Amino acid sequence: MHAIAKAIDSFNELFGRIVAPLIAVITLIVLYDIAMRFFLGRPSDWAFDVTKMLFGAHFMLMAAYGLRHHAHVEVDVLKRLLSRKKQAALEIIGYVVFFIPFIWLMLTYGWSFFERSISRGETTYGMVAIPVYPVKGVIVLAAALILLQAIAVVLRAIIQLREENHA
Amino acid sequence: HAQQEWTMTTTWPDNLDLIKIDQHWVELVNKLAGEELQINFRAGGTLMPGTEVFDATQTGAIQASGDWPGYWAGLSPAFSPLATTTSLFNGVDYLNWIQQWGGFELYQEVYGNYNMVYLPYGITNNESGFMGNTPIESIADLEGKRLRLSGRDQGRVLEELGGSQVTLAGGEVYQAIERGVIDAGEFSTPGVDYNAGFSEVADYWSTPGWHQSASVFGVMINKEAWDELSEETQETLKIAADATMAWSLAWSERQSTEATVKFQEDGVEISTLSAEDLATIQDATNEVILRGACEDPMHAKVYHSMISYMEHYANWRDVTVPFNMSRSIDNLPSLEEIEACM
Amino acid sequence: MSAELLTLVMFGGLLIGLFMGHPLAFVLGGVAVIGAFLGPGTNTLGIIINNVYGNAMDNYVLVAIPLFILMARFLNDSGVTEKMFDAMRLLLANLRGGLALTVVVVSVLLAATTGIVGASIAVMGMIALVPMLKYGYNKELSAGVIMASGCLGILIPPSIMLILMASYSPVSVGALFAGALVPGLMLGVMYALYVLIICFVKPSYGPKVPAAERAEVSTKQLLIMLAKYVVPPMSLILGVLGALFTGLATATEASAIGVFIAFILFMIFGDRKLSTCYNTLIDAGKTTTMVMLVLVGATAFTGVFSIGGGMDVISELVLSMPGGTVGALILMLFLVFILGMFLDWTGIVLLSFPIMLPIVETMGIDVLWFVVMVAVVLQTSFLTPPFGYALFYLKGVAPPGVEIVDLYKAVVPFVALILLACVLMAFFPVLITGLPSILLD
Ligand code: NA
Ligand code: NA
Repeated sequence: MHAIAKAIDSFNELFGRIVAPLIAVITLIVLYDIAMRFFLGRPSDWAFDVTKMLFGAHFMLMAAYGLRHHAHVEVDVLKRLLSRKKQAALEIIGYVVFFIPFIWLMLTYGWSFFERSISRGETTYGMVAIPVYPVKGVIVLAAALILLQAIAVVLRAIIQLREENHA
Repeated sequence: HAQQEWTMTTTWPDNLDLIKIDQHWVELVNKLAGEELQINFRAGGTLMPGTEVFDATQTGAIQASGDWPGYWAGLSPAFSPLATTTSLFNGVDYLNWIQQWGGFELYQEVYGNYNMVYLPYGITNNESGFMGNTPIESIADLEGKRLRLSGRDQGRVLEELGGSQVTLAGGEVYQAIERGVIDAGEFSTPGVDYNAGFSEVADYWSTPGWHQSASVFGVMINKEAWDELSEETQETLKIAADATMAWSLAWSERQSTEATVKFQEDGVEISTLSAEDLATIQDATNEVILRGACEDPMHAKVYHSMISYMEHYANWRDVTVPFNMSRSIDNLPSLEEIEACM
Repeated sequence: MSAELLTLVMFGGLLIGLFMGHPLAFVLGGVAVIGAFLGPGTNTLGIIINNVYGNAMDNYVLVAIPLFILMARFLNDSGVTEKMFDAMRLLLANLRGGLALTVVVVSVLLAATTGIVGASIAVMGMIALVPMLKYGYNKELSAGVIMASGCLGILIPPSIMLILMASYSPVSVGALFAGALVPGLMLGVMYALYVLIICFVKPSYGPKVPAAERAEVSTKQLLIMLAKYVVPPMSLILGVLGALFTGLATATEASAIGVFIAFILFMIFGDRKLSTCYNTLIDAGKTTTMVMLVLVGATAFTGVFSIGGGMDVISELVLSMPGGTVGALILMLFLVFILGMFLDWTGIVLLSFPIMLPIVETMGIDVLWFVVMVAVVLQTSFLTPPFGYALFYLKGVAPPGVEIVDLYKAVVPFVALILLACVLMAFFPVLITGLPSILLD
């Protein structure tokens, strides 16, 4: 079990490190657009949409990396007062009660949302028609990555529970 | 048929006057069909962002939503002429076409592809035109200017005239004019524009609004929800839509009139493009309509129907001048060329 | 399930999940799904995706959030903050409470350059807390002043919180920035006055820096230091706020300009290493996803809550309170204060704005004024236990001997000062509305 958790960690670590530079790309596109406007008097006709799409992709695809590094907001003041075994149990309950419904929705409804877009070849409606479905597909991909990382978290909690039982 | 309860929203937030058209229809329906159907209407943005109401109605997450069809042109360009035209239809043309020349059926065909029934229930006539801090008295003044304009066809025409299109959300136009981010911008009809505060930020107003010669609004209804209604109730909804359509045309013309007076009182300078310039715009428009129509068969089909109506109606319309209800126009996009693309 | 019961169940579920220590984003999202099953029905589940995509992902205004975060990171990596702190500390060396005053001044300057909370708490905690304790400063005063002034970053523009608030209200980013500037600076002045007064009354709270240390640097050297290290943050302030207030750029564009300037500062004053740059991108990504994922959960929650009729229940409750408009206002701001103890600002803005702003508009109250009032009240949310970013950030970098209980005590006078500021702004709304009407009209 420990090996699986470690493998998931490394995978999401790598993925997060690949996605992170997107924020630099976003900056460069916005700067390019400003420069076009100032120096050539013509804003680009794609920067607005592309910036928005990359932004949506960036934070969603960084979410699993964030979970791997405990970056997400949580109130653990009460939890920390408990024994490690109880903490592990509470963690598992939390994932079953709250996480599973949410991630189930993101995967299933997210998939149909993506499918409706790709089956119609949905594009933006500006002068340049940019496909919209890739960024809609990001919801499903992000949810899958988060689910993977959550499995690692829960596996570690189970290991914790078992260890305490042996001791 | 037990009483149905619908949740309906719209693309318009509470503070935008266009929501009044949706509210008018909902009130009529609740009054006339209240025993069989109760509609809970929520202002735009309260259930989900306005951009998502199409998807939510299609899936049945909500039963209905008011809209302006042009917002969905990214799914199919055919939505664009269902919403507005560049330099073609006026408000009465839309009324004629929808009710007597096959327009209504085309709305059903396009929205039907997405599991929805569509009742057009709002028409507003000509939009204001460009407002901003740079005077645009002729086409020549458009050269090198940045203008807020929505729609792909509109952008293409503007580009041919030498201006460049900036796409901004409706709520950002006011600030963009104020800050000089754009030279001028269009948003809606004078009534709506005035209430959105445009006279506070714009010194100049260029008419007519060739980019959007008239507009259509309506309600998308999820197909399953529609099918659950009795035929009588369906009929009631259609009657309420027709009544709202007539009301909206007169209401918005009254609003535009009062607002135009206020714009003038606030010192906004109005200029009107010359007939020569409008003829140039017509040439550009015809070219763009042909180009757009040929990119998508359904788009071509809608334009074909609209231009056929214009040609047909011209027989009577042009002998009634000056008492006619539409612009006399002899320079239309070629029907034959559009047919080749269908 | 009735709308009233749904309201109880959803907020009850939220509280339970919160105290279980489950990530807030998943609690909000999970409660949304469960709430849809119990309340408005499974056919409404789809609007969760519509809200996640439309409100969080497909939102141009919010693009400024990661960019301001990245800007803060680059500024931090440039090391300018520490040097500015040193120069300022020597300048104020002869003053009682001079170090604490330095913390306030530097934090306010930093606040005007970055848009996130914690940007200066962590830095100040590292560079100021140890010297303050070493010189015999009162522990609670030291910790309190670092935490309270460190939170100003998210109130004084630029601010990612104000950007989010603008996106969920009819008020523009520019107007909100202008509206929050005076209240933010006013809080800074109040903190500074508090430091001066308490150190005057109780000299042991903030002893002077030993004369020998001040003598090590000549006045001329000090002036050069000041010029050198106060210019960079000034250039950021001018670049970002200047571009925004003169109308040269939108908030998103201004944030990109800010990243550009901060990057140049990093290239001048920082270590210029590619690896540092890469780590900065990763850190910025982590912070961005932390902020945005709560937004994802909260928008799912509000979508279901709204279609289930919960919004109507709450707004009826607020409007039925005795005391009319004033009573309703106090109640709403008090609710924000209470929510601030448990939720982070993203969740609070998303949960409260859709309910409260229509009420505010109905009552004919200036929305800009109300939004800035909420922004100021939310300053307490970073400081109040059990959940407060400032407490966590400072605890993370504090030396041994500074316990979380010390931090709880440390925030009390500052929370009181924030509430006092709110009272002032209630009686003198011009403190909020004055600057926007000058700048934007
Ligand atoms: Na700030
Ligand atoms: Na806004």
